[in-house]
Amino acid sequence: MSGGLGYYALRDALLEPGCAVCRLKATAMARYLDSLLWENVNDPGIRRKIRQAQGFCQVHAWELVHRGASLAAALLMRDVLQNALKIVKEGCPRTLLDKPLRQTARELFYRQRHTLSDELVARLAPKARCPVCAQGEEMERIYLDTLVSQLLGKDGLLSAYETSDGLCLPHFLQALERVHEKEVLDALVKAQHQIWERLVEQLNEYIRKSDYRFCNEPWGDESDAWLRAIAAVAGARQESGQQ
Amino acid sequence: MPGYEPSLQWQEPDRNQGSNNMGLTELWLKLAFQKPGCPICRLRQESEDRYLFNLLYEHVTDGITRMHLVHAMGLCSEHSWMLQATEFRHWHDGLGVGIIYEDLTERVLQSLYQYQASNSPSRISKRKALRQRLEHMGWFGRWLAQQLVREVPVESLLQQISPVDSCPACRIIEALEDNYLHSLVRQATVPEFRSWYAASDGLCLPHLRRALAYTKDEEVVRFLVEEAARRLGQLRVHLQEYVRKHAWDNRHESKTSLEQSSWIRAVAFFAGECREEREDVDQLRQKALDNYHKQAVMSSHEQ
Repeated sequence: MSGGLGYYALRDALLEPGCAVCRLKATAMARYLDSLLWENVNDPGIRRKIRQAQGFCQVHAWELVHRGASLAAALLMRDVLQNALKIVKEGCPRTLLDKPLRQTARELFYRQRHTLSDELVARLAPKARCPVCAQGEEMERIYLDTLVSQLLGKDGLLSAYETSDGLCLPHFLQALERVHEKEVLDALVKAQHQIWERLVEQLNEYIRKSDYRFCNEPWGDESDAWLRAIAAVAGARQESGQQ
Repeated sequence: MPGYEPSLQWQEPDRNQGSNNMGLTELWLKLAFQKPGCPICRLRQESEDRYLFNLLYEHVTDGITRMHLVHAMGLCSEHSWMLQATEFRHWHDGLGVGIIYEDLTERVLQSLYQYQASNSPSRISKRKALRQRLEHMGWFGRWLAQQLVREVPVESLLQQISPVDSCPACRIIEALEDNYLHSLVRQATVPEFRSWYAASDGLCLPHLRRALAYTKDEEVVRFLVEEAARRLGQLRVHLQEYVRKHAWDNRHESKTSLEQSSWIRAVAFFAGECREEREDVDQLRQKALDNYHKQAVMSSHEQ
């Protein structure tokens, strides 16, 4: 099987608990952040991307704090801050005469007067996506394509998939959208069905044992079924320092 | 209350009442100004905590709440995990979460089961045989085969297991956030309220953008912009000093509390506040906020 790196990464991730794509996506994003903080803080291309995105999304911006990357964060944020400060300090043109001639003419001609805040809001808005999220989504797409294309056949991922926790619902939906062959679709649905059936049985058992009549029975595999159910429906938790 | 959709949409206040009438929302804002970080982020977090606690305490078996959750296929990923953490923190258990997600898992499972049942090999071969027989019966048979003998497409399965509504927690929290932001921009014309705001950490960038979009009052826009520029100017100086003092030749210079917290405050400004409470981070930010308070007191004395 010439599956490439994605195939082997998926095969290994399917042996681990939880959705394999969630796990691999989290690993890809953590690696990206590691390399950014370790190697690329002063890379002009990356700095431009970060400036365009007005820094990072909330989760990944705080990841810098959780990793204690104080100097790297200070350097990156100073750059973004200087950009934002310039926009805020310039504020907005107060009168028509303060604006560029073309804009003044357009406003007078079309009677389109934007309010002070509209222009400022537009200038302060991020012009690109969080670079860490963008990287994570790119890797997610690659892994889902690999899973769908390498599911069947000799050394296919189906057997590993069947014994794993399967995909979470959001990734399962994305995988279904990528399927073009009926055999793959049937195999994927059948495997996921078995996985969720197992989970529902364990959830039923968890709820039964929470009843006062059966609360003396010892806990088995179902003890963390409620956690796995959240992960199955909502996707894995985005934790700080998740590897 | 999660069980029903409360009317949280912003309504334009009665201008005749005057802006000095401070309500509960403004008092919540005042309390939030006294704590480190963006006040709206803080109020949002408190609302989220209340919503999730109430959901677990009162509404796990409430029909309407569960209907909303079914339509949205549960909460979004972030709120789902917050729900789990809330239940574990308060009850060291997962029964409420287990009940909600058992229902959802069961529903998804049923959809998969239906798809499998209608696409089983025996059904497919029967369909094939019927189609062939009908197709031998001329144009009417071919038309009938097209109408009657259809394969169940993957789109119908996708439709069944996709959410039809957004996360109920996101919806309600967003509406509350709107309410707080509208109150803030309305009260920003009141001098007393402005002094409270000036002594706070101010709004983070995502909330500043929204606050600016909610007001057409040039005076309020100017006030918010001036405050943001003042804070950002100070923050830039602190950041520059923080970076400078990391250089080899300046390493012996001690960093002030404002410089120590500058990189965290910069992250908080651009990304909004962190949802996880961290004692060390909070302490650093509280020191920085105390300094703002001192500055606000000094400037009011000068005036």
